[in-house]
This record gives sequence, structure tokens and C-alpha cells, in this order.
Amino acid sequence: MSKALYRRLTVFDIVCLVIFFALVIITLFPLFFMLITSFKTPEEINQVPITLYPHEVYMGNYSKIFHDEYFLRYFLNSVIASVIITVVSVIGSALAGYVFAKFKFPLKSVFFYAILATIMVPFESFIVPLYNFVRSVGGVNTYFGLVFPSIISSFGIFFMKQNMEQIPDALVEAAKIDGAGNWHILRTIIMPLSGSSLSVLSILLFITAWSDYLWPLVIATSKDMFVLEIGLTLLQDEYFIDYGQMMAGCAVALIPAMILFIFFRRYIMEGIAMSGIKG
Amino acid sequence: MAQRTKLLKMNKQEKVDFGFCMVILIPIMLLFAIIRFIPIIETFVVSFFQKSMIRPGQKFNGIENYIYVLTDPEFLKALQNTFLITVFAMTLSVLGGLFLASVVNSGRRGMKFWQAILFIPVIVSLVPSTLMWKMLFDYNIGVVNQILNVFGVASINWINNGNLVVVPIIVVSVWKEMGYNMMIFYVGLKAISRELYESAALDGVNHWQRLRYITLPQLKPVTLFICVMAMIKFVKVFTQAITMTSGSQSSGNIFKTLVYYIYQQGFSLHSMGRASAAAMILLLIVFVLTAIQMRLDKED
Repeated sequence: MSKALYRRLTVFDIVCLVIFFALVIITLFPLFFMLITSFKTPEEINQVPITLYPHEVYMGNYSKIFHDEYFLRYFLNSVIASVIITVVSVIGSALAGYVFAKFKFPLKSVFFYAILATIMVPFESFIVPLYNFVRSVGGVNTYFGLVFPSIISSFGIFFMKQNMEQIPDALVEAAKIDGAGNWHILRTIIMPLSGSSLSVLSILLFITAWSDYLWPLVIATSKDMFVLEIGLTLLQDEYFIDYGQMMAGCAVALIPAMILFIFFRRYIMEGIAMSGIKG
Repeated sequence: MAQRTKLLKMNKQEKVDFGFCMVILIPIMLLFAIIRFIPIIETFVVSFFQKSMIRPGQKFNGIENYIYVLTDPEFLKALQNTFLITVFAMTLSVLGGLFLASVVNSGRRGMKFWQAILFIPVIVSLVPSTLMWKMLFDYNIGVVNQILNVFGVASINWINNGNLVVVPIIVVSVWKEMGYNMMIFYVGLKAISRELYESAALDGVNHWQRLRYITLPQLKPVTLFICVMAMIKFVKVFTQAITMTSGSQSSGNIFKTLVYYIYQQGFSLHSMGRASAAAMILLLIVFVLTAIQMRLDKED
């Protein structure tokens, strides 16, 4: 067995594997070094040659960011905004997906393609008029303003429609003959059968909302309403970057995505690959 | 009689269904109108007007905004910067993704695990990613310079050099994109029929021939698709560039990209007309790329 394995390994294979693991190291190193740096004392961070592990485990960076009156606020704002965006847009996507997947009505395809077409329009291109609108309704520095552009997702509607089309029509028809209303069918048949696609969509939309940067940058001008992504960039000024605090902040910012990744790895990878292929 | 009641019943059900659809769709279409359709149309219209956020009133001035933008050295510089990032980040992340996918697909033990590891950067948000690389490229305490020193190369001031800062920006873009491309290539590789390889193995072809005559031609549609997707993503590059170069409060050091130009015109200089004209140019670029992609999809 081991001999066969040995024979199969050519020089070409070895070169490939060396490059492969070099890329694995490049992938992991920034994350590893971020964690290490967040536990180093300021003196050790500025020490040359660079140390690859903290010689003394220092919690000061974490205690500094958690005693910063604003950092917790940024974190909370990120959580609130991302959760609202995820919940509202997943509900909207599920409802619209159901309507597009299981009903026939006039102008259906016009509505659907109008929604689909907006996927390819970059958000950055219409951000100025959108900002003016949100400002005119008093959305600057509010949670409403922060979440408003993301509470509907054209990708989400498309994704849920594709998935709900897989549910057999016969199930829906049978329930209708039994006299079940549309809301009842939605609650008792469609939703339970869409569990996995709903969770994939929730995770994707949450991660997207969490990493949003440009919109929070323009809509929040007071420190109270900054999100974490913005807050992290404020830990630097012209002459000095406190890398210890900054890396501790980055580590905290990565927690939600990492937890999701550990538990739903397969869903996330397949979901993101599929969203790229189909969306 | 029986037929009539059936018809009435059907009509009623249809009415109920129609009502149900409208109850859901009307609010959603209304939101789409406010959040997407109207702002998109407004961008198009405003791009032909002289309009400012500070002063009320507007004046039609034809294509003057476009002329201003297209002859503005700042815009051309932004376009050039965006192009530079797009070309390098796309090429490297596509090649890297293809390579990783083919090794992962070789079916060696433990590859599923490494694939998951390689995917991590995709879910790490862009600001922390950029800050991590910013530290690695730091002039004094950066690992990159330390490695260069080992090889006898003097430290390089990556971040504060207006020309060199493109290197860390490209690196972080590739770092984040490579795992994603790997995943799509992996799906593409899985789709190539085993029989092709088996019959090739019977003919005794070597690695290079297999790659050259089977894998690459079979992957051509996927590769083109990924390239276009990556281009669409990188034309909109903003966060990496601004995070890598911000900190100095003067905007002089910011590595300006197309989206940064829109942001600056719209939100710092309050010139909505010019911001909209630049936005329309971005939209046009993305549309052309999307059209190419749709065409490729059809050919496929």
C-alpha cells in the first residue's frame, strides 16, 4: 500500500504539493499573526526581529478595546444592523420566492426580471441618490438608515424562488383541496421544506451585511452609529497605529463569521459557490 | 349546474391567490422602487445636470459632466489604479484558484480539510483582512520586510509609497478571492467526466498532456466565467484601497479607485452631477462585462 503510494508520487506531484502548502501557509499566516499580535505587549509588537509567539501572554489589548466606550457600541451596532438586515431580507425573500415559484398572475415575469436585473447594477453606482433619499427621510445616524438599502435582496428572492420551485406542486395542490389557505400552506409546507435553503441564505446575507463598509461609512457620521468595520479603521492615525488593539479588534470582528463557518462549513461553501454560479 | 359552481369556485380561488400575491409583491416592489429603480434612474438623469448637494436648484448641462470627468486627471488616475488592481488581482486569483482546485481535486487524503482552510479568507470581512496585511507590510515591524532583509534586500516602504501601495492592495484582494475561485473551479473540475481521464490513462498520456489536452479545454467556459466575475468584483474595488491607505487624515495619500472617485465627488465635493456621470461610467463597464458573461453563458 505505502509502496504503491510512493510510486505514484512523481516530481511533478511533489512540486505541486509544495506550492499548495505554501499557499495554505500564506492563507493562514495573516490570521495566525493577527491572533498572536493581539496577545503581545506593545513593546513586543515593536520588537525586531519579529517574534512568532507572544513571549508573555498579554490581555491588555483586549481589555483596552473592551474598556473603550465606543468599541462595544460599534460591535453592538454591527450586530443589530446585521441581524435586522438578515431577518427582514430573508423573510422578504421567502415570501417573494414563494409567490414567484408557485403562482401565476399577470406581469409575473416582468416583476421577476425587473428584480433580477438589479443584481447586476453595482450598488456603488447609485449610492449618491439613495443617500439623498435616506437623508431626506431623516435616516442619517439611525438604525433605519443603516439597514434600509439592504432590507431586500434581489439575490435572495432569486435564490428562494429557485429552491421553492423544487417543492412538488402536488403537495401544495393537495393542501388547497383540503381547504388550506395560502398563508397556512406557506407556514406548514413551504417553510419547513425550505429549511436548509433558508439557513444558507441567512448565513450568506448575515456575512454580507456584517462586512458592509461603504454604506455605513456614508450614512453614519456620529461615532454612536459607526459599525465595527468603520470602528476598526479608526484605531489608526497619521503617525501611529496601535497594532495590538487593532488586531484584537479584528479578532473580535471575525468571531461571528468564524462561528458560522465552523458549524455550517459545507452549507456556506456550497452556498457561496452556487450564488456565484447562478447569481 | 355542477360546472357552474366549479367555475365560480375556481374564480374565487384565483382571486384569493391573486390577492395573496399582491399583498406580498406590492410592498416588495415598492421597496425595490425606492431602494433600486428610482436611484438608478436618478443617477442617469442627474448625470446630465449641474447639481450640488449644498446649493439647491439644478441646471441641465448636457454631457458636460461626462466631459469634465473624462478629462479630469484625478478620474483618469482612478481609472488607471482600478485597472491595475483588476488585471493583477484577477490574473493571480484565477491562476491560484485553478491550481488549488486541481490539487484539491486530486483526491488525496485530507484534501477536504485543506479546501475548507483555503476557503476561510472568503468569509473574513474586507476591513480586518486589509488591516492584517497592512501590518504584515508595515515598514518597521512588518513580516514582509523582515523576510526581504533575510535575503539582503533593504526594507521597502510599501504603505506610504503612493506607487508601491498597490502591491499590498493586490495581495489582500488575491488573498480574499483565491478561495472563492478555487471553489468554482472545483465544481467545474468535478463536472469533467471521469471517462475522459480514464481513456487518456489507457493511452498513457503524462501530466502535462492531460492538463493541456483535457483539463484546460474542458475548463475553458468556467475559466472565462470566473475571469468576468472577478473583473466585475474588482472594478468596484474600494474598501481595500481606502483601508490600506487611510489613517493619514489628509486624503492626499489615499489610493484612489473608481468608486473612491464617485464617493469623493458625491460626498466630499458634493457634486452630484459629476458623481453620477462617474457612476454611469462604472455602470457601463459592469454592463459590458455582464453582457460578455451572458454571451458566454449562452455559448456554453
